[in-house]
Amino acid sequence: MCLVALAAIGQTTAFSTASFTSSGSSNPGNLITAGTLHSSNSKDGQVLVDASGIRPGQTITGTFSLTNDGTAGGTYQIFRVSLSDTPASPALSGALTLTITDTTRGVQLYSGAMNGLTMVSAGPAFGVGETRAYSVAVIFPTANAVPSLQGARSDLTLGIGGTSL
Amino acid sequence: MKSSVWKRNRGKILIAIAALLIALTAAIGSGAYFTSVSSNPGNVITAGVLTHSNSNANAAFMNLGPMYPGQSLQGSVTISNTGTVPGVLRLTQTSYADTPGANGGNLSSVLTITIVDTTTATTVYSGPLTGYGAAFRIAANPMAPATPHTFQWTVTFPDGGAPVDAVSGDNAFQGSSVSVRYDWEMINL
Repeated sequence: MCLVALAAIGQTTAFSTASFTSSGSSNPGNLITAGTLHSSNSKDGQVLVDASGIRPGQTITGTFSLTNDGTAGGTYQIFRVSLSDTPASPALSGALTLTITDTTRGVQLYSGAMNGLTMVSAGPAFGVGETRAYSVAVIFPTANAVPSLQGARSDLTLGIGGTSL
Repeated sequence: MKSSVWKRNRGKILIAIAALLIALTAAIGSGAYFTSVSSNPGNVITAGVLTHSNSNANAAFMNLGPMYPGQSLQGSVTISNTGTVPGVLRLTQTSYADTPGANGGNLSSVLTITIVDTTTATTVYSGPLTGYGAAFRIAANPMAPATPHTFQWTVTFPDGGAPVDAVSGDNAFQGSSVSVRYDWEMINL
């Protein structure tokens, strides 16, 4: 009799904590990925415009293309990395005019003294895989020609930087 | 002669008559009750059923990206109580695993998530992905049968400002990814 009574108590205790639970469901493998912003420049590390021997009234043009080959859209900037003049004064870069044009869109991005360029936008945001062509022209205005610039030299290095959207 | 018998047995006869009358009275009395009877047969007591469905069961409901700093993307999943009793829905962020990109940053360290029950406009969690913790959070309470709840995740990659170089700041997370697992459980109220 005692054994039977204990068994009944135990059963009651077990049921007092019973709850319904639905079998669990899972959502594994939710993936969140950061993009990459990367560009390729068709003239990377190369001379863009060789204006050796440029004369007053002459224009020398170079071209390059820019491709957003990362996985994220972004905006790009063309900026001056370095500029040096020999001689420093009078500076040839102050006499030369530089123009940068987005030829894909037909929009001029910069036009001014070569030594006045610090940074200019390469245009609206690039989509992933988008390519645009650019021209860079160096112009020696006749009005700026002075004898002391004969034999002068300017070295301009341009860089391209990007910012994701 | 007859008179003498009557006289001798008079007492016995009276007793017999008296006994007969009493017995007769008792017999009449036993059938004199009113009764009224009604029944409630077939009372049924049924245990409920607690089950739920998941619109993307055993699969991911988010494949977000490629993300960039400052961007928010969303994913959603719908859970339904397919049982017969209301329940409490629990959500656990069971695990996450980082796969760093070339610059080594763990994306989980910067992402924030907001989980909203769009059916009730209730925020289940809002904070860093890594701050969800191992414990479950109540996703819906109560969750009635046959009332689907859609839960929306908003994942944000905060803009950390301009990186000082190509590999630090937000650039550390370029190409990084994180995989997250969620588990659901429902219990009765």
